[in-house]
Amino acid sequence: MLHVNKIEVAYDRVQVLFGLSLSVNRGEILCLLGRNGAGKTTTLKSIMGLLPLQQGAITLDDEAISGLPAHDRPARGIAYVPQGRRLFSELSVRQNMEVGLMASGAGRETQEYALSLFPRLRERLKQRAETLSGGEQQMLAMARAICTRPEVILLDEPTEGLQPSMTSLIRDVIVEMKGNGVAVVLVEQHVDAVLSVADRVTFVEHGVDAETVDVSVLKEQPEMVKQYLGV
Amino acid sequence: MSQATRSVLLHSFVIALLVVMFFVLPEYHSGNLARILVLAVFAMGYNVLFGYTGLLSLGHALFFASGMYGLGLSIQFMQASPMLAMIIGLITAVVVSCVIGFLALRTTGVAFMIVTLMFAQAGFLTVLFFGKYTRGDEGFVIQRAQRSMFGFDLSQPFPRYFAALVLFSICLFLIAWLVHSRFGKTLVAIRENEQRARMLGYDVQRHKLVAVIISGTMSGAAGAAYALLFGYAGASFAAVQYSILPLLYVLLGGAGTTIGPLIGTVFMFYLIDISSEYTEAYMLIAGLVLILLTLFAPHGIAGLVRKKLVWLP
Repeated sequence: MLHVNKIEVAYDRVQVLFGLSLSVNRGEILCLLGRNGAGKTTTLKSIMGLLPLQQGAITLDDEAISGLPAHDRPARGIAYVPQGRRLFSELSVRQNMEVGLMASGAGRETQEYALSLFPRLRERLKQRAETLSGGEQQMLAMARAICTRPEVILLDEPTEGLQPSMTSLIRDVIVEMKGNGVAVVLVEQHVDAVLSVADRVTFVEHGVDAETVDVSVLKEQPEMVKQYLGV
Repeated sequence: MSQATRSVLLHSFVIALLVVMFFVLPEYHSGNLARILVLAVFAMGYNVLFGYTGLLSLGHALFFASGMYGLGLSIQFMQASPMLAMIIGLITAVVVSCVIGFLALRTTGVAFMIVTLMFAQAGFLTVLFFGKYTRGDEGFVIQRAQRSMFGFDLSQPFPRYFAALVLFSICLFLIAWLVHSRFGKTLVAIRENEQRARMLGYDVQRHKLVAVIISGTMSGAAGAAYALLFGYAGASFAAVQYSILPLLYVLLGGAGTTIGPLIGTVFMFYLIDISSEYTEAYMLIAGLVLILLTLFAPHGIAGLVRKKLVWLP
């Protein structure tokens, strides 16, 4: 499905990724784990086309997408929910979702599906996004991404700062998307959360993929977490 | 009642009110209102870019002047009919906004403001440089005989007012339609969060360019109408003051609202008109009122109303 092959990426002159590779298949959750500054968010931004590659390639269903501008990638089925949600704060919940729907040309049934995953948003349809709670904003950010009917979704710390009930709801939705055949790339800090949803884990260290293991291996060898995260 | 129905009713009511105003107001004020309607079209054009797309231009005088001189010069030197001259004015504004949009949109934020300002200043100097044709600061008068359209003498108060109202109504409904269209909603998304819109798959640059062209063309239509209805074209309309005015109209009336530009233009026009009756330092009074409004109604007058009537387009 999605293959990232030895990409090198820099912010101006500061190189962040030094030949990172990963792959994720349909109906699979790949989690990126690593210390702050290891290059996890940079990897997601590179996949989304927000940062140019200096070396390497990204392919989706064996088709190179590295040269596509960012605005062309959602049409190929890639959605990105960045850290901090980045909603259209002055627009209502409904309008935020409509922007996602318009982008994909999806109909009302897609919106209904997204609202069925996050019923609380239905009660808030006319409310401005900036007036939502943190958890509701995260729901909306994910609902809007779902409205673009993605085949690959990139989630950057979707449960950061949320209360436990909200965290488990977000996790349930991630698993639901996986069940619908969506490939999920998840950046997450909470190891427990990773163990409960991920299929595979890629440890990112100093801008490279240090090791990729099945989550079952990680459960058997929890010392790996300490080795890469120092916790 | 759906939002679209409410929007049509509101705008129809505004137009009906403006029709009645002509018969109710004394001639001096109905004359003012004709001028205000044309300037409100200018402000509506500006609002497309500033209010809906979030791009602050300081060079809209160039678009206004493009329409004005496109029409004025074609009447003066080609003896074009008012209709043909109007079309030439519009084409001039389209071409100028395409070129300016293409070049200026390579920048963002403050740089965009500076670049648009510089282009407008270059336009102003061009008008002065070709003074042999444009008559520079002095400007030129479009004779009454050259201002008849469809048998109506546009120098007369009645046809002039209703010609201005027709242009205003067309632009108002165009904007109302635009706001509810897919394109208009995308512009608002770009205004709110450009990078997010790009990540959702929108070609932000193309949308911005089309917004500049719509905005510039509407401003140009206002410039052409101004010259035709009031019979004068001069370099002062290409000066920086005419780039600042639509910004003030929109800020006062309510950026990103359909009727805000009209409200802001009426307010600003009469603020200057009335205060200048009492003192020569009328700009001081205007400035003070602007500061108060900015402090207490930062989203403009229509923005204030929208807090109560959230459906206000």
